[in-house]
Amino acid sequence: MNTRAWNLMSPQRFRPWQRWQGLRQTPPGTALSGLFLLLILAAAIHPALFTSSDPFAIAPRQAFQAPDFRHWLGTDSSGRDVFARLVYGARQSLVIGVAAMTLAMVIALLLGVTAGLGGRRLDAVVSAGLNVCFAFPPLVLALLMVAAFGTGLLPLIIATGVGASPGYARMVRGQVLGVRQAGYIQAATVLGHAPAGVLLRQVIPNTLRPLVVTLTMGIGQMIVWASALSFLGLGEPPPSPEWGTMLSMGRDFVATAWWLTCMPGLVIVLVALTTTVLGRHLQRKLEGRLA
Amino acid sequence: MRSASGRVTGQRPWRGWLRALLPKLLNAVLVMWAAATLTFLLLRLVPGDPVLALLGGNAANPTPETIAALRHAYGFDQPLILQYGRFLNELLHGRLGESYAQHVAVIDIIRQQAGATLQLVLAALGVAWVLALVAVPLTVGRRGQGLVSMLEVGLATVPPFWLALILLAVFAFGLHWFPPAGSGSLRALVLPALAMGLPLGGFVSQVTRESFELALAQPFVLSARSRGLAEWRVRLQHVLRHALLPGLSLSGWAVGALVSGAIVVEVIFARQGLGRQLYQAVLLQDLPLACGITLFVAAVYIIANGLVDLLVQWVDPRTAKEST
Amino acid sequence: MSGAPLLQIQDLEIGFRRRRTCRQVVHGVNLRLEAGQAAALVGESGSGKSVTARSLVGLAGAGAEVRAATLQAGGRDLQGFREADWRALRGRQIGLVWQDALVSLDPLHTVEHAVGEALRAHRWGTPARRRERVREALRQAGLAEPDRLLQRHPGQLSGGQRQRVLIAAALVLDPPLLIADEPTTALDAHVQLQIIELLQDIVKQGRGLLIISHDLGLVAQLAGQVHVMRHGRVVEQGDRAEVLRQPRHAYTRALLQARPGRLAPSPVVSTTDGPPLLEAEGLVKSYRQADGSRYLALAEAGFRLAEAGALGIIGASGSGKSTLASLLLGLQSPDQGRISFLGQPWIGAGQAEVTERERRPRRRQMAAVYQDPLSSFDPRWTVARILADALAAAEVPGAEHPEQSLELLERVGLPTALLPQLPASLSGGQRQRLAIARALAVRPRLLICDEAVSALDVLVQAQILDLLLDLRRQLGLACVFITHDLRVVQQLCDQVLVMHEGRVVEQGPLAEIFARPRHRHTRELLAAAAGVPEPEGDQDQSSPR
Repeated sequence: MNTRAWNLMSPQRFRPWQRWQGLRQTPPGTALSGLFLLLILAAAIHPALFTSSDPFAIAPRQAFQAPDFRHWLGTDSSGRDVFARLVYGARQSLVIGVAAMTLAMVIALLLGVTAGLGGRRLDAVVSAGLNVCFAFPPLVLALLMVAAFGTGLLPLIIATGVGASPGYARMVRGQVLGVRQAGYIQAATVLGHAPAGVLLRQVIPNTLRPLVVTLTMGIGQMIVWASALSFLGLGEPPPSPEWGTMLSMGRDFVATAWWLTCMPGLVIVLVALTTTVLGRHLQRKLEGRLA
Repeated sequence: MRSASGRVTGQRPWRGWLRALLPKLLNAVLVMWAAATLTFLLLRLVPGDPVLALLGGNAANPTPETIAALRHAYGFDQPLILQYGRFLNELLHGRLGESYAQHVAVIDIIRQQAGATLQLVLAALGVAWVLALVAVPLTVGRRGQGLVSMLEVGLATVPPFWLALILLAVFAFGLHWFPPAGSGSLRALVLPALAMGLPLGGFVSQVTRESFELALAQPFVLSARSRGLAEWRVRLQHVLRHALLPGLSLSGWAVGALVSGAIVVEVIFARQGLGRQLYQAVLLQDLPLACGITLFVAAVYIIANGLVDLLVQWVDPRTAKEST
Repeated sequence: MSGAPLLQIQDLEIGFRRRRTCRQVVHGVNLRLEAGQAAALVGESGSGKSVTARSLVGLAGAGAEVRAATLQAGGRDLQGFREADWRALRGRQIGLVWQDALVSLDPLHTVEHAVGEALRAHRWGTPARRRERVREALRQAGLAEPDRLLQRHPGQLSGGQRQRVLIAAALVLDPPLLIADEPTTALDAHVQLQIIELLQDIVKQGRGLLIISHDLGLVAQLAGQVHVMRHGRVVEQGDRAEVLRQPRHAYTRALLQARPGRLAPSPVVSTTDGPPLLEAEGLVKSYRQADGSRYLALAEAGFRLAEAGALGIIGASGSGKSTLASLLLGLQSPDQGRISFLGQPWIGAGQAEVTERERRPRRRQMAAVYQDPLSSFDPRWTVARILADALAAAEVPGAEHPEQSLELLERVGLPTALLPQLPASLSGGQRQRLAIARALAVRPRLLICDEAVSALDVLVQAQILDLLLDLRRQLGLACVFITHDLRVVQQLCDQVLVMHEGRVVEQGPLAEIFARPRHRHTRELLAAAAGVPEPEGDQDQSSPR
């Protein structure tokens, strides 16, 4: 076998040096976002790394302390350290975000691929169904489900995930249809490849690729929605360190203890922002490959 | 162009706009029917006894006779299909049932509360578009566009409920410029409308900015400039019309998103409106009210989308020919 | 002012500044144009001709730095111009017609709005007078009944009408100089001739004309002066007769030679006895449109192709050739008619419909090269993977892929260094060669080329066509070329099929069609293609009829 030929045929991007060079060229905004998300992930896995305080420890005499050196982000109505609660809340929020997004993506893939590959009639049925789902704004749908099935962590995840899935299903469907009509699929047919092979080797991978971007940005979105539901009191009850619950606990003291609402909200916003930035960067890299 | 050579056959001689409208109406009715069926199923298949909820929950301790009587009166003892038929019949007559908690007809509650919510939604939509129409044509291709764009992205990712809390803290409790609660006056509308409109504005601006940039690079812009047109005129008369289209199509969806946001914002600002009603209905497990409001919101969404479609066709006559 | 030339350019240099670096795109252009004269800037895309034209009205682009020893229009020095001065110049002193009227006119504005735009921008006259002037301008541009067109949108006009509207919009303020960038691309042959006549009239009226084009045939009919540009430099300039008949620079010679049809077609002997390789009969195909009507794309097409034969299918856009191509490739089923390939049914209608499963074993014998190679490659796959995938389709064992891939690359003239690259990083010509390599990988007996060279530059076109000719000879491939360019067919085919509005209007051996065309459409096509002067002697045909 011609080893020179094999060397030439291995794609450049897999060589480690090329990968490192690629990473070094990341713009600063994206790098910072990635770093922030890694910190959040670390906080979720091992909260003790970041804080030694107990998020549930009550200290009534130290209630409503503004941010200072002892309590970096202040204390809440029962004297609990806000920073510690945020750190421990990371795990909950991340779990909710990832679980809800996974649920949404699974449903979206099932519906979208069925509609995209299944032929005109199946597509019409699924699209009509999706249109019906779209008539319900996602938060309203989520609320309806909470009304029907009660509050708690699991209903929260299901409500958020199912509520978001119609939008993603439509996106997947559009992607599948676009790939199916692409020139290279036609070329594959003309070459004589069997449709099953084309489906597995070309249609599915090309469909899934851009969805990585959607997945990344979606996790941030899910966290925001779930925190909206928790804020309304429909998620984990207090004194859970879940960020949305913290917001609702602080709501009554907006005028006096601003840090109780500002800090959890800020973290939520930052997670949403960093996932968006990261997602955009991935999208640009993906398009750069195709351009 | 082609029909002259006899290559196109079988054109139907109906009037164009009527033919385009019919399938859309049919679709709207279909979606409404499906939404109604969905709410019916949710109402009936949910665990828990609706009769008990009607009577005030377990604490009321009703007698078995009262329960049976009520069950018969509401038709809960009949087979599901008949209940469904009754439900649809009530719906066609404009009745959505009675609220478990408030013991008032759902339709009356909606009639009273819808106005405030619609007011808020329209105000927020207005804020969003004003932001987009000001920020985008002025800054695309000019110095400072990167900064403005980043600001827009930042706004778009801010959750409305957090922005509401911040605005409340700063402008209501801090500076006392606006009231922290209430639904009557125009001043009470400002903070809630900003809380919902600014994040949407960021999103709409981003979308419009992208299409504005694309349109600005089009050859017909070069043609316009070559005829001696001033830059601001080129932007307003040529580019803006093209750039608006994705944002307009988005506005239909935006109405739905704004209603979602209204739920939380009305709660925060203690405003009257369907959002707060829905929230309370969910807390009290008042399913008829919750479902009724949901159906109403779905209807509003469908109408809004229809209007948006017409608007888009007016702005860009080319889309009239394309099918979905 | 009457003595001053319309354009006086000396040592024009244009560069684009991006952060620290300045990239030069135009070096040293010299041009002088008087009233009643026409000059041409000729070159391929990237030669700097369009940016030169744009810089004459201050529209070179963001970050452009324009310097010249002299840059004057109508005696005025353009180098000190501020934005207000440019705006006064545009449309009034210099009228501009940009490429491709379909995208150069705002699709959301009516014809009246477009043509009257310059009038409004320069605050000319009253609304009533403007409307009258718009009508006049449309008539000047050759549109007989302007009132019928005023309220239409560009999408509702034909190609020729759009181009005239664009020209009218440029002439509405009666500028002494007109600059036209590729005024005849994307137009059908006979419409091109009409536009050329219009432009010739404009020059006869005493205006100046600057033409930007890559089409030497067009240039020959319009321009007195010719400037040939390459990579931003003028490599040759002078009188039309000199440049086109006795070119001094090698590049000019190459451009002249590269036009297909310059070489006499080398006869490739095709076997005419025995069963035909590909046979089509009575093909009819129509589509259902969004509003319920049916559009007849193809009406009764049929032909016979022998082993190693070459068939050229010619037609303009809308002639039905793309539909025929997709039927030939077995991607659609016809409403009526059938095709048989290698003696077995390939596609059929109704009861005789052929399933994909029946076709698949023979697919290996038919390969295709498409107009846009980039979209025919999976964007994630490297060159190596693309070739390996094609070889796998031909059931070549995996161990032989590397060697055979190298062989294929060599055959089409691509360097092996391209193997680990993505198609997105290749040039247009390289991509098309890769597409041909992929087609050859399955060792087909029939190659279908659907507008395979239409999107390439003239020189690259010539190279690809030469490659195809060589491959035909070496491998005895049968070919079907689907194209709108008669000259491509002239070089490569021995049979011709002419299509017009969905019907086959003429077919037969190449020599006969060219010598004795019977249908009006064929004659128009031949006339348009022949409008190129011969560099060696012969009278130049300024009005080819």
